[in-house]
Amino acid sequence: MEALTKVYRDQPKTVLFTAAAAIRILAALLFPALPDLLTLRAELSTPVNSFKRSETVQYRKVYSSMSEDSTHTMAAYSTSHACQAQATTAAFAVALAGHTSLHPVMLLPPIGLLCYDRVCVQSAEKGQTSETDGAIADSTKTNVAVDLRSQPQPLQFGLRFVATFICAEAFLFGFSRLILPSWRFIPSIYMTLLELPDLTPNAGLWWYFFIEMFDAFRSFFLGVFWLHMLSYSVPFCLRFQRQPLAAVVLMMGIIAVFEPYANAGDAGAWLSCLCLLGHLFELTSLHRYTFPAIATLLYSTLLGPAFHHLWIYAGSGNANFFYAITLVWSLALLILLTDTVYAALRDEWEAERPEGKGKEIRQM
Amino acid sequence: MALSARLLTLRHSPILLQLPPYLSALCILIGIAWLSILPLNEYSRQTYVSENAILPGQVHTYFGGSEHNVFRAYRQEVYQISQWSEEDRLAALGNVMQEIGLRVAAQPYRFTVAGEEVNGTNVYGLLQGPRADATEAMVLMAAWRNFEGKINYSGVALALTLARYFKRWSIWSKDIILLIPMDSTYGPEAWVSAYHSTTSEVTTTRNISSLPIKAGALQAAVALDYPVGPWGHRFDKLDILYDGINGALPNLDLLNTAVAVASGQMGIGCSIHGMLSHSDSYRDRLTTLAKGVVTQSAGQATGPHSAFVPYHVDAITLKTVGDGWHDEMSLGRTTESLFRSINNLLEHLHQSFFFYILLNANRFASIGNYLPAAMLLAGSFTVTALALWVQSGQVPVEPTAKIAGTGSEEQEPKLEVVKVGEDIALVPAATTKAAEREMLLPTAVVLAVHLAGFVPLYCLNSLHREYLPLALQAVTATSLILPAFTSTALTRQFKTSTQQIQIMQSFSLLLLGATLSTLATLNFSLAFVIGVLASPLSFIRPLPKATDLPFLRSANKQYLYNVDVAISFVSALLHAALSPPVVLCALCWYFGHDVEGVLVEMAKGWAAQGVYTSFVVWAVWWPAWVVGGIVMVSGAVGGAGRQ
Repeated sequence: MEALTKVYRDQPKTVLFTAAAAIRILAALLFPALPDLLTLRAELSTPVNSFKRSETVQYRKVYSSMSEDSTHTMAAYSTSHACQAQATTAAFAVALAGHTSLHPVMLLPPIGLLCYDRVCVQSAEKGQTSETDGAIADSTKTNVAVDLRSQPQPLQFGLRFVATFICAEAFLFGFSRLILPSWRFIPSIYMTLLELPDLTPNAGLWWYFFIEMFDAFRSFFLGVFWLHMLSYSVPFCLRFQRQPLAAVVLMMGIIAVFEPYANAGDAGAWLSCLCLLGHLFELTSLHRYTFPAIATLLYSTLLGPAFHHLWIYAGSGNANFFYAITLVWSLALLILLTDTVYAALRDEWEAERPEGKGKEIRQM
Repeated sequence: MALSARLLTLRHSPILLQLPPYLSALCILIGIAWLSILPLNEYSRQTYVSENAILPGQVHTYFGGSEHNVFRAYRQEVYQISQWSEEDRLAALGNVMQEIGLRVAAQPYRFTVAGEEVNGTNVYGLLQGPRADATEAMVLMAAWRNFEGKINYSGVALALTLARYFKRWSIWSKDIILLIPMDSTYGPEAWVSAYHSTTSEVTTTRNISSLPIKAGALQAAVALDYPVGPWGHRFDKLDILYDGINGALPNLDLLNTAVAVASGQMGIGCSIHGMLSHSDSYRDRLTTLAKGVVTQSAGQATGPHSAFVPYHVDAITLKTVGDGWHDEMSLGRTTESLFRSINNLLEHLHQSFFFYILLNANRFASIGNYLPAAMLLAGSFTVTALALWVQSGQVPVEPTAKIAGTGSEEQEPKLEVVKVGEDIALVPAATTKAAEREMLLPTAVVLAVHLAGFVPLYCLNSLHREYLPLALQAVTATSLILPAFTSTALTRQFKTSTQQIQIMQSFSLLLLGATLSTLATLNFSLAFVIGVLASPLSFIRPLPKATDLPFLRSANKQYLYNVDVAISFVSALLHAALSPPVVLCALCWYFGHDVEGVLVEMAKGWAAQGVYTSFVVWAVWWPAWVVGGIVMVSGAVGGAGRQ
């Protein structure tokens, strides 16, 4: 036990990745039927990430094998590079993620903001060290006025960031065209997301709505749904200017809940990403409803498959059973999301007014 | 102050933390009481045929006259071939069907259950409906041996007679399949699973050949159980068996149709769960309900029809019971009329209820009326889980400057001065403060115990049948020692705190509550029964030390030690009495079943038919019980738990 703890302390990354790889390989070896079983699960498998289902759509085949995992990896990769103030790689990673499944493009504004924030911090630190020539070792701890003129211009940075993104995207399209025989991959990838042709039940909110929809209103509501999702990106950036990482993680949450082919994998990836905001956990669990929300997630994780079974296989339930559970599932995720919003705002407020720490909020 | 603000201040009220055990107990009481009011007229309904197309009993039945002679001839024939070897018998049955004009096929199957091999062959024939387009079919079934193992002479003969009679009619708009499986469990299971699969995969427990002849989607299946030899026997009532595997039920319309045809058209009384004399009193209704709950919660097959229900094929068994004046022709006419009704269906039975509890052959309680009972029981665990979670986040504030020997000082409630603006108030000081929760160990323990549940599950379902009672004894012994052992190890090795124990119990109960409420939607009765049996787990707390009890403060050491031992002994006994293996044995004793027989049945259900009752017992209930034991013992062995 102690030896394990020691190894973990010394090389946390190695241990973590080895454990993850070992679990992945063991799962594949011990349960060879697992992939087939999982691809049949409505909560996990959607037209966007399923290899099996994509066989009808020619070009999705090439993409789907890499899409789901790589989208998450790329989003995380992009965040991590933004945190290191590497604008080019961050923009490229967003482009890559957006290239395989459209909605990560919505992460562009918050990631750009995060990147800009880090760039400012870096230039400030650089300015300080050059001014003081390292005379004061702990200069970072004291608050030193930063010369705003030496900071990079936001507009200039933004333009450069967007330009990098567009170039990367153009490069990726060109590269895709090189390996694929025609341009037809563009509609087959993006139209699947934009037009929602596949209404197979999944963990999201779209399918039931569009099953019920009269065809005449279909395109209108597709627009509404997409606009709704889009509409969070910029407001988050504006409100969380001082915490760009929170904006990125919250936007990921919005995508996980409201994306057209939602699945448990995206929600799981988002829940893992919540660890990036670990400093807010105390606030959420103290003031908000983390435990009930997670208990609700547990309930819907169990009830979802049961109701899907009752509807599809046993024939004794109907679509409303399963849809009700996807609503509960999304509700629980949204409660977690709003709790995180609350905690992030409260954290900001408490930083301004430390005397308010631990007090109840009242409407005056 | 707005209402919401008032509610928010309420959440710090100490009363709120005292409430959950009572709330939990209330949930359990209401949940159990709920079932007892269902038999009342206000909470149950008269059954009615919901599907318009069925038109039960609206046709004249022509089965009779010379068909009786045919039946008697077939019954003699069946009796004859029952003396033959199995091979010859199958050939003979095939020949008879061939002569009737059916397309005949056979399907051999082999199951390996509890270390024993079961071999058999299904013989079946397809009657192509003159108006059918091969998209829909109904099944007429007569197992060679009925569920009790008796040879189903008259049932098989009647099915053959009916097939011969049906062949002459031009009205069938669905194909009719005559199925004669060799037994009432494995045969139908092999047939229906092969009917619904495209490939025949050989596994360690089953080897089923694929079917050479198939028809369309099965609309309904009716099994005849009439194990009377060539000398004949007049019966009193038809017992309608309807429970499917894992408590799945056929559509209520099929049952209603059978009851309407039998009692309305033919004048044959119908009974449910073998309740031959049912006076429709509260008591009889409650007995029927209880029998239904017990049968459904076992989840086992109750007849040849059971295998069909999980495949979304509505199926029932008509079983003749008692001594009366109805003969085989009445049963034949009932079946004819029932098939005419099914033949009328325009789409799969879907109108009526799939979830119901029958109180009588023509009275039922629908899901909306009975589901709250199981949900309340499941909810009681969630309430306690939430309460424990909240408690685990608050540790008592260390008493400041406590002077030894001044007992009177502690009695006064501590007050502190709160000053808001101009106002000054004296309020009781907070007795608790927020604490960070240590969750790794509790999570690991709960997970490990749940994984450990697979050991008894595996042992009791895969060992040879002669070792099963021994395995159960071993499981019982291990189960009884395990909580005490684990708890001691945890307190001594890992120095578990009160908080960790609370979190452990909270997680365990949360999982139990969530699983049971899920289960309630699949198999209400099983969730209800497990919920009732596990309900005391909500109230388990670490055993108090005699030294901590206020009324024993002045007692001497020896006396305190005796009290400790007494408390531990009584609670250990109570806890042991509620353990899954002990309850299993007690239930066997109560219902007068042989333990080995029950274990074999469970293994059979698990291996051959996918009955998940044993999974629920060993992987849901057992772990929750073990964690309860760990929590309870932790108080006795823990000494002063780390806060």
